[in-house]
Amino acid sequence: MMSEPDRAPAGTTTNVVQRSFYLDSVALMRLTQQLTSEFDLTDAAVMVATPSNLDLMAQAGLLTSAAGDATANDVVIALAGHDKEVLALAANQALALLAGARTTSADSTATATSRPGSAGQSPMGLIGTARERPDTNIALISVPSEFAALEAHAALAQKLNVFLFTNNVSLTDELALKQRARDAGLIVMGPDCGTSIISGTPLGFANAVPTGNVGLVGATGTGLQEVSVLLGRAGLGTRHAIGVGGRDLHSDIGGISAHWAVACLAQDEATDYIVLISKPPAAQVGEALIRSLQESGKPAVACFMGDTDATHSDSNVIRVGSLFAAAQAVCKLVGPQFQIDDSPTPPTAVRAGVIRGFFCGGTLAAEVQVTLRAHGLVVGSNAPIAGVGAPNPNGHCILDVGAPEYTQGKAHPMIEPSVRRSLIRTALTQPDTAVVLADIVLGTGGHMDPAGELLLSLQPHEDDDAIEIPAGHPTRDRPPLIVNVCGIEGDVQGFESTCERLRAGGATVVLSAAQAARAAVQCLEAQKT
Amino acid sequence: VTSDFLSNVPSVLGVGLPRFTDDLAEHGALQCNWGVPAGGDMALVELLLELERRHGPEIDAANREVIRRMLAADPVLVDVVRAGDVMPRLGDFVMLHAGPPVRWERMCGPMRGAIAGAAVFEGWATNLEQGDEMAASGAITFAPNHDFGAVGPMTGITTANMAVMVVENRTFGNRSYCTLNEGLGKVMRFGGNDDEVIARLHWLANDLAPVLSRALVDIGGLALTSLIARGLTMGDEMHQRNVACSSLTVRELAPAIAACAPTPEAARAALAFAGANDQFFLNIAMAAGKAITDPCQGVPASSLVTAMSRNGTDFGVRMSATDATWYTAPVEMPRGLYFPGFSEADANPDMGDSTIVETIGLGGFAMAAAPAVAGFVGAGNASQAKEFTRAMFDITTANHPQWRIPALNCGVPIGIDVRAVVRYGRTPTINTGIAHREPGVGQVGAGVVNAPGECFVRAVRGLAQTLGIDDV
Repeated sequence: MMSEPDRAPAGTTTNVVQRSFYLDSVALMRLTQQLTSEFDLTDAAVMVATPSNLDLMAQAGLLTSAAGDATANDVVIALAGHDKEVLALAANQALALLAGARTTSADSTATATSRPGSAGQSPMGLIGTARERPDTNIALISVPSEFAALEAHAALAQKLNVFLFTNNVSLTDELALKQRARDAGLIVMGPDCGTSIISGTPLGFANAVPTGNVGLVGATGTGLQEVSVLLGRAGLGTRHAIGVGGRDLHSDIGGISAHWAVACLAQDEATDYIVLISKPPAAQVGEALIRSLQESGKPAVACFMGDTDATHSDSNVIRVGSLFAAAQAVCKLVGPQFQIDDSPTPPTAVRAGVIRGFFCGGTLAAEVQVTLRAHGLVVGSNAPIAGVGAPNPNGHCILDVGAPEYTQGKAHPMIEPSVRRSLIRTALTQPDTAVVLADIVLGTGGHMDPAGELLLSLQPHEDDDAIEIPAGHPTRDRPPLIVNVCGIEGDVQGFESTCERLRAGGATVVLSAAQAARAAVQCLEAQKT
Repeated sequence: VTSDFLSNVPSVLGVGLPRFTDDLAEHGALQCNWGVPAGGDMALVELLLELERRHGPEIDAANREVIRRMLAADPVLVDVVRAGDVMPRLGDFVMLHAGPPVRWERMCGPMRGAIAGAAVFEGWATNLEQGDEMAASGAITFAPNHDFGAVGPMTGITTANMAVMVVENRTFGNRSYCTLNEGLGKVMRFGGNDDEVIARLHWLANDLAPVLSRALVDIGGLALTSLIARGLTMGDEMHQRNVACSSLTVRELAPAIAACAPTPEAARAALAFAGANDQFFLNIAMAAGKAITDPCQGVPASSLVTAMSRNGTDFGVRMSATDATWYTAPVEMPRGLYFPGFSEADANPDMGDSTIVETIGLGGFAMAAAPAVAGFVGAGNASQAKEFTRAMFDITTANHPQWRIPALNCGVPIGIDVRAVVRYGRTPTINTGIAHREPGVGQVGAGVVNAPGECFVRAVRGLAQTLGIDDV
């Protein structure tokens, strides 16, 4: 159904089609938001003209005959308002934004700081580009979920290893992709893979860690970042960090990618130590991987988050239950001169109440839960580790704000951390909050100014009517904000400058998620005594 | 595990969010173009995915076999003969036409014009009206050239007493046929059918064919793979531009023609005709295309195209896995430049078996080799011509190691994969001549046309069906 322009008595509608143009939906939504804030519009949609999107726009009464022949290769700018001239200006602005989004970084249109580089653009798709550049060995795929498996299959057919950032790929497709990869001598890193480092080259979210002789395998992106950063600060370099996707050690997948990665690291002459990081895996999968580590013959650490049998050793494999313990174990293996900084942080403001944590990194949220539980606290979480319950509004609560319930239709908070701004602001004003915890993850792929974004939470916002500041709770009297910074000297956002800005802004800075949890516990204990 | 994955510095292609690729800019990462696959038709996306899940490696292996056969081909022009002598089923009142099967009632104007002319040429009718009536009455049996091991340009009308060139694929032993190119102007392939057209056909069969036949036998045949490779470096793409290969052919044949022709006048006439016809080689390239692709048919599970052809009404695609099955859809109108006095209103829809050259990576797929043609068919300059060719990389599976294009540093893209055509929503680009829509007028222009996407969608469904996947 299409409505003609001018039919709606209340206003007017205009459609402009940008032919042969694609931009991811998050970038388009952000662009739409920018248009509605800049211009007096009653409604606006800037969408790829897929049949389902055209339906949506038609139902909203936003389609005119001008978009009648738009196809999924085109982007439709549909604007409604009261003034034709305003619509024309807004449409021109939309075209300019689209053009700009293509030449700069398409998904960071709203951020002032731009990315350090701009990669070459091939006019061809994956198949043609890979044939024209036969030395290509990795496809880094971050297309929308419903098309990700098809793209990954195409990459495997081109004999490319796959780094699959996209999440929400079905287990069936994950298994089919990983089996196909294994049969072809390739690896699928992911789906939902955030981080890898291959021969010192960062893929996705990764830090500027030194290149050395440690090889990591992880079913967790921020877990790999945290361990590589802790090792790096202690002077130990990471050669490879192979992300395998959060569900690889699930019994349905059987650790196909993790096995392949361990085998590759075992074979790699430049790798002397192997570290495996995962949530507690399915029993047989975990045992088989421990055997693979044993067969590698190399000193190895197996870190299953929250593993209560932790820190014992059978043969060449040391088992630990936290990221911090994993990094410590590696240091111990290499030599006593390597130490992880573990100096306690003195508690700042002290008040009664509960710990409230808001984490962009899912495994950093898990690390905090592990540490709090080790101190005997009862914790709730939307992404609970074993032994942790659902979030309790009156108890200690550690939230993973990268979980689907917070990211539906939005960018991941590693890319766009503003999703947690109002959550943190609210927690800071709640009278029963003893401590607020938050993480800052630096490195490639992520937001260019996460510290600045987090500090906005400390300033009550006049537009933010979601918050009622209770009487007797001036914001100066807020609970301490403890921030763990996952970063290292050399990260594009600036490691030292990030820490300094956070401190200057009134946050307490610690250098690991485990330390953040311990600092929170100290605050509680200091209050009791 | 034997993998050099960790010993190599990664070379990354990004697909999707540009930020990750941008962060790898200094490592030489390249961002691929990406659009919603299959035009956002989720049923087709699911069908493509199901093919990958259940049969991906099997289809890839079958496609590698087809590519192996394509690249192993050794097409050689060996003879010029009477069509009826090499195609036993091509008897009286049988006529071959371009494209997939089409009944007379659905044939376009130029095709009907050529049929009336050919009926006169064969002596079945005394004039064009009578020829037309014969065809309409069902007195003539029509069949596609492709079913007779033959191909023909534009209308593609082939009858028993016409001369056909014989190309032998010496690797596989199969032979293919194509009529001699009649030159430009009023010609039967564009629907021309007057006395001049018919007289020329007689001369081709009675005078030129025997001379060429003797010359070809004398030189032991003309190897075409290397000839085409040379032509590509000299600005030919083998569909709209054949001047280099035509010249090379005449050069190869001239001494033998001089020696074998019955009289010096016959030699002069033969050399003058072939030498003055810039498109003389088109029909040779077409026969070569047919000879290369015929052994590629019938490889189970292969999704590669073995023929593309149009009859002026329908466009047809054959896929290796399903052998002789045609997947058809209505032909599209070419976009191009017109001779003075003509316009798009005069144009007939797309027609001819000549798309066999695109099937082997030439024509529109080799646009980058032929900047002169690129301007003619709507690509403004040499760098645009290059993009025409690169656009075909995504929908093909290999690059020809011998048919290299100087501007590209690699060979022409070959092995059209119906899955990729549907996925990218990008159909093969075809360089083509444009016929007048009325019978008897002839060529009015030239341009580019795209194969209709629906043929490839049907082929993908056909592939799924042969592999036991119910349509999703």
